This record gives sequence, C-alpha cells and structure tokens, in this order.
Amino acid sequence: MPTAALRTAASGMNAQQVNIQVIANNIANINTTGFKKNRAEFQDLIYQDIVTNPQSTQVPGLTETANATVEVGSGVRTSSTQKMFTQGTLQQTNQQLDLGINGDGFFQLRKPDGTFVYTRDGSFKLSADGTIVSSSGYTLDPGFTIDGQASEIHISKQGNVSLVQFNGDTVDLGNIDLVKFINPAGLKSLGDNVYAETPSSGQPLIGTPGSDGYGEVHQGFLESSNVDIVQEMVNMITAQRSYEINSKTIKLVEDMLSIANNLKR
Amino acid sequence: MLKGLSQLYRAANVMHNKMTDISITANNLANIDTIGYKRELPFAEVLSRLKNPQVKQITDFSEGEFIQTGNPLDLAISKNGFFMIKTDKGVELTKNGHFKLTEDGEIVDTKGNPLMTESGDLNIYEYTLNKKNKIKISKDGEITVGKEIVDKLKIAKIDDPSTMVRENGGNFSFPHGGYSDASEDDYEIQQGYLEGSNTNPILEMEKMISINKQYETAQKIIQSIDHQMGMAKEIGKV
Repeated sequence: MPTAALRTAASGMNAQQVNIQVIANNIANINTTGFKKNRAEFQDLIYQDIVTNPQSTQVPGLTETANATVEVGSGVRTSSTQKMFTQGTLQQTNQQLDLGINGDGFFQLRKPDGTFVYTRDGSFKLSADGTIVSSSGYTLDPGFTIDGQASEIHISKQGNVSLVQFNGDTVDLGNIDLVKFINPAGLKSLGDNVYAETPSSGQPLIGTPGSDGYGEVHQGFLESSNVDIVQEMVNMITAQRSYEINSKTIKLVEDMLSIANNLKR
Repeated sequence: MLKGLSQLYRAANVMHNKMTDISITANNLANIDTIGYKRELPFAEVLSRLKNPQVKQITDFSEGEFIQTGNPLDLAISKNGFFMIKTDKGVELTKNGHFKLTEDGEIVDTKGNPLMTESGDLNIYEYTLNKKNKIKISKDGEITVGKEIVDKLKIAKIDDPSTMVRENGGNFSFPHGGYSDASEDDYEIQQGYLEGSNTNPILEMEKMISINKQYETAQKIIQSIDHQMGMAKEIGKV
C-alpha cells in the first residue's frame, strides 16, 4: 500500500511523456503540407477502497469499530490521441497542380492495391503516363490523364478540370470530387499525409467542392499544417511542469517512507 | 501503560492516513490532464475525543477549464449537469464528453458504452449517409442531424455528492441513488469543447507539503511515546 502513491505518480510521469511525444510530433510537422495536429488524451484508472482505521479493532480502550473506507485512485493512462481538423492557412505556390482545400473535405486517393485513402495534402504531380498522383505516388480518384498537348491545366474552385491546348482550345476533363466524413476525428493516420476510413469516422461521403458544405479547391495554393507554435510551446511547458510535479510526488513519498523507516532509532 | 499504548496506535493511524492522503493527492496530480477529472479532497475529521481521526473524502465538483477541440462529438457540460452512460454494470454519470460514432451509428464513449438519450436508442446511421448532414448539439442537449431534430441527450444532476462512487474513465456510479433528472437551467452543453481536469497544482503541492509535515510530526510523537514508555520501567530503580 505505501508504494501505491509511487506507482500513481509514475503513471502520471508516463502520461506526460506520451504528451511530450505528441507535442514533439506536432512541432516536427510544422511545415508538413496538410498536417493536422494531434492531442493526447488521458483517463483515470480504477479506484480502490482503503480502510482508514486498520488498528481500531485491535486497540484496547478504542471501541470504535467503524471500518470507514476512502476511495483511492491508482493513476492515469493515455486513452487515445485525437486529431484536430481545424483549417490550416493556404499558402500561394503558383504551381498548377498544387491544390488547397478551404473548408471541409479530403481528396480521395487510390493506392496501387486498389484501396482508398484520403488526404488534405494537395501537392499533386504528373506521373510519366500523364495521371495526377499525390506526392507519395497514389493516384487521385476520380483521375484524369493529361497528355502532352496541353499548355495549361485549369482547375476551378468547384473542382472542374480543363486543359488549355497549344491551339487555344479548352478541353473539359471532368471534376475533382471531395470526400467528407461525419466524424473526421475518427480517421486513422497512415503517415505520408494520408488517412484511412475507420468504423468511427463513418463512411466517405463524396461531393462537389463548394457545395453542400464541402470546401472550395484553390489552384496554386497549398494548405500548411494547422500547428500553432505558440500553443504547442505552452502545451510543452505545462507538460514539462506536470512531469516535474509528479516527480516531486515520488520524492515526497520517498521522504515519508524514510520517516517511517526512522521510527525506531 | 494502556494510555500510552492507545496514543501510540492513534499516532500510527495518523501515519497510515497520511499515506492514504498522499495517494489521493498523487492521483489528482497524475490526472492533471484527464478530461472531465474531478479532484478528490482528503481530509481528517475528529469525530469525538475518544475516537480516532477519520479520513473522509469528498470530491471537488468545481468546473474545469473548457478546452476547444472543434470536434462535433466533443461536448463540455457546465454546472451540475452530467452525461449518462449505459454500462454493463448499470448507469454511470460523467463529465467526460469525449464521444465517438460507431459503424452502426451509435454514439458511444471512449470505452464503447452508449450515451443515453431521451428515446433510449439513438441511432443516426441513416442520417450519416447524407452528405449534407452535420451533427449539431444544442446548449440543452438537442441532437440535430441536418435539419431534423433526432433526439435529446439525457442529462442528470447530482443531489448528494457524497453518495457518488468513482469509477475509472472519470465516471461516477451511484449504488445509493443521489441523482435526479436535470432541468434545462442546471446545465449548458458546449459542442466542440471538452472540460479539462480541475486539479490545481498549487493547491496539491501545498497539500503534499502539509501531509509530509504531519507525517513527520506523527513519527516524532511515536518516538517520544516510545521514549516515555522506556522511562516508565526505570521508576522504582534506585
């Protein structure tokens, strides 16, 4: 029992360590296009009943028998990390295939194995065979093939893709769709700036940019990460201080144990 | 001799209780970042001169800071309102408003237990298929998906805080009752916010120092009683 407080404080230090890891990852990705910051979440552990007067029944002259108990908690654990899908600022790049989403929605990408993943990172490239691919090489879905005859690719705010050819003609290629989730916080991060659908995110809902609450697509812009350096620094300071105060608890309990040890000189 | 012995036990009890107190304080500090956590206050109460000081515990139900998350299923509830969660062991109350949507369209807490509503079986699966829909939860707990009001959250208030039993995950169970349905004046729900822990590091630090000193004092008392008892047997020797 005396060491329970030690373990409780140790669990607090562990939790703050996870917290610092999450903050470090946010700060490391401050320049990652389309990155969404994470937040660590914690939960308290089970409570045990501790008898307050363990000696009361053994002492002559002390008639009190009430075995009063108090509930003592056993610490904290990290329950999850949560993504925060707030808008990042759009930065102008003037690249034809850089697309920034202003508002809700994700681009849908198809992996080589046929499964779909979703991203806010709109830094697209042209592959050798003329398809539009993301920076990690996944194809944009629905995709387009752009042949060498085009001088300019034009993408409207509603996602309409058209080609301006060398002779001045405009060819309409179709539409880039966006995908929304009823609970985007439930998406799973796969790295490479892409997310996968999970049971808690809900099913992907496909729609046209700029309508029904979907964001608009801006050509020549990229969405920067939504990490706020000041906020992260503040979080880092509080995490560090929480770590420190939990270590103080350990120090103090150790002092108390040493006092108990010195009862009999 | 008997008098000395009971005093000795009493001081030992103080040491035991201070160790319990430090566990409670350690738990408050470990949960300094836990959503919806309510700090515990250990305190000793002298019931009568004859009896031992008894540790009784109360929960500090004061409000934690509201933290903005922007997620539609993150809810912070103010004042005396509590969300009701249906668990295997029965209904539990909580201030932890971090909810998720399941594949089947149920709204559940982080442990997967469903959030209780007026209708009893909230299922928004069919609404989630419509891309125009957004989940909105009003200040009094009305759930709107798209333009349709689908349900209302069941909110409880605690009448007698001392009957609440702590469960993990920031929840409270109530084997002896002590709660009732809350009226709309008792609470206000903020969507996109979570309520932080109400642990105050300064107060806990101060508590830790005083616990440590009381522990030390009790040790000194035991040592001096020990010394006195040793003296007693010296009486009568010339």
